[in-house]
Amino acid sequence: MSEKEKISIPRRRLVIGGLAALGVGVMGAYTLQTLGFMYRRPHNKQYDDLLSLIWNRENAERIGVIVLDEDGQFEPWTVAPQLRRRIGKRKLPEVILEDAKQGRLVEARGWVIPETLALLSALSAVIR
Amino acid sequence: MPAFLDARSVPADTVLETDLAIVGGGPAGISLALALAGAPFKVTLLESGGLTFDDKTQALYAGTQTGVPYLALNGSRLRYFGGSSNHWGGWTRPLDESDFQKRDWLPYSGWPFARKEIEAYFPRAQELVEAGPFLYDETMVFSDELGRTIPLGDGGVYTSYFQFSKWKDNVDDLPTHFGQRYAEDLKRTPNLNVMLHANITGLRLAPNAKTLDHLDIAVLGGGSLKLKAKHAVLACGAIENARLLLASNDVMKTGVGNQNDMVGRFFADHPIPRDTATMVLFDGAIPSFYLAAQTAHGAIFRKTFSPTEEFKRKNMVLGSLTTVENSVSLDATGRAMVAATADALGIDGRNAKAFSLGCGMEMAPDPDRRLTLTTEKDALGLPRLKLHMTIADSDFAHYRDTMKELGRQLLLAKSGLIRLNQASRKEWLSVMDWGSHHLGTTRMHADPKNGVVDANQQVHGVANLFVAGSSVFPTYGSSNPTMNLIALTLRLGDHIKSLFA
Ligand SMILES: Cc1cc2nc3c(=O)[nH]c(=O)nc-3n(C[C@H](O)[C@H](O)[C@H](O)COP(=O)(O)OP(=O)(O)OC[C@H]3O[C@@H](n4cnc5c(N)ncnc54)[C@H](O)[C@@H]3O)c2cc1C
Repeated sequence: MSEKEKISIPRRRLVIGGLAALGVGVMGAYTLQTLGFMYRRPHNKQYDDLLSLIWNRENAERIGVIVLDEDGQFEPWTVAPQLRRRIGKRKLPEVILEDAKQGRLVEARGWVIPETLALLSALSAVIR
Repeated sequence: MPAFLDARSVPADTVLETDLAIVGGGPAGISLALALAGAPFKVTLLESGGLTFDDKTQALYAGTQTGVPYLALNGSRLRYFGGSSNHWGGWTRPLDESDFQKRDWLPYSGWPFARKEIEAYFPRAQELVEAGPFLYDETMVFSDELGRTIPLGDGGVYTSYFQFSKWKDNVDDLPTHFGQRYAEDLKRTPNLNVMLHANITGLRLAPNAKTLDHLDIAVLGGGSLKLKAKHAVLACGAIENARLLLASNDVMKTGVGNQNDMVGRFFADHPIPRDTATMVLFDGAIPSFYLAAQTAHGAIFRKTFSPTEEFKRKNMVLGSLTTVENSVSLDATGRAMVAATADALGIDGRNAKAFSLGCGMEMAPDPDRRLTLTTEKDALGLPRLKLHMTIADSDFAHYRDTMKELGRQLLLAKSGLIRLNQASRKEWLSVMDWGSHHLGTTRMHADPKNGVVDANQQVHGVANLFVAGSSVFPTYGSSNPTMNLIALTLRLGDHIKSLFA
């Protein structure tokens, strides 16, 4: 994507742990404009392992849209492998608690939520 | 039992004499007078008002304002015997150790001494405010009786405790109104005269400006008196203490104690913004001690959240006390956040309930937040004040950091989560209220260039003039001031006794 195609999006208000730490890239990142068509993407099995961790897709998508809105830059193909590495064979609650312990938190419309939940939700909003 | 004197019935132009004059009959003045009961010197307490509220006396407090919206100067205090304790809330809590310390990251911070210097006076101050046994955070030892404590994971926020002034042993009773409560004790004090309707309008220095010679007393409706005193203590509240010093500018042209342009600067209060955050508890069960004051062990308590000393130091944040206010309902986004977070934690969030949080925050000292004299005069000819009010964005940011930490600890304990409800300055100001805790205008500092009074609360350069009350607080903490200012005033009482010894 060229610099011209990017739109100016407010940077995330708070990332305690830092989405950036998970490799949420700046160069070549999807912007909100591009998310418009991504929303209507057909089901993509590539992320099923991660999406299956989500109990309620409707809730996750609602949260995901807010996370994307506040971050504005999100690459599923970059975030997914990093999430997989982070989660490994562990159960989600363990990882969520680790987020809290390490201060890996994201502020989404004021809600202070664990980063892993925020990223899974963003993925859920992007990959239908 | 002798009655109080009434300045209106003293012949005009009378010159009175005393050993110690206390100006102001609020909690500071009354506590000092009680502390000096039986001392081998004569004390005269001068109070502007009578025993009850009076419009004309109250109007002497009016002033103007610029800057951030703040309470009207005649609306956030009361000018009659007992002072603002006639309408205070009775919330009581000692200052933290760090409130006294110099913090390198916080300009102008630090008292000239450590907390331990006034700790010995806390028990008596606690007795005077009638807040029961001095327990506060020691309340943890019987926390079961105070209901469950909301589980928090390890971190920078802990469950703290307020105690409450209670005139009578009942939660619903008023906090101690110092005037009514201690009137009879004061009347019984042999070395004390209390004079009502006596408005001090001038602190008259000797020509060398090194000592106070006498006080001018004016009576509403006409007449004036003089009081010659060996020593005097100003205890008129933080706004009026500064006004009297500034307005007494006949010998020292910039005002008494104002040789370094410090009087009236560093005004502060505790901002108490509403609905600062929404706290969700997954199990929906809120122990009653959070929502309202409850009685236990002869005291009235309420649980709050505070940043630990370590968190404040490491994260360079100011103090705060967060209260749980009332239950609130969540919108669709909130419900999704709660359900998804509970699911992700592997717990049942179906009974979750949300609560609005409020707080009392500490402000950073600001020399530009100040009181100055205007050309307008009150009915007694004293210049009225203008307050320029400020609040820094960083003050809000400090509190937000503390709330984020609380949110982190709720998640860690799997007990809940938090929403930070205010982000921009505009949002914060839209929910702003103030504690009416006037602070800082005659700050204490060993160096006259940085303060108005020294560590003994003596006005720099004026040997026999002292200031009592929260106007001397150089940094403010987040605890409500009254019990603390009384402890400090009791310490001043000991110093005064030593001067007469
Ligand atoms: C609505 C409200 C709620 C509050 N709630 C709390 C709370 O919950 N907890 C807490 O700790 N604090 C609270 N406070 C603050 C508390 O009231 C003050 O800290 C306390 O009253 C200060 O005591 P003081 O004696 O220094 O001053 P004041 O109470 O202001 O007393 C000053 C006295 O000086 C007299 N005076 C003034 N000018 C002159 C003059 N020129 N000559 C002679 N006399 C004069 C006045 O009439 C008055 O009696 C509250 C205040 C308000 C307004």
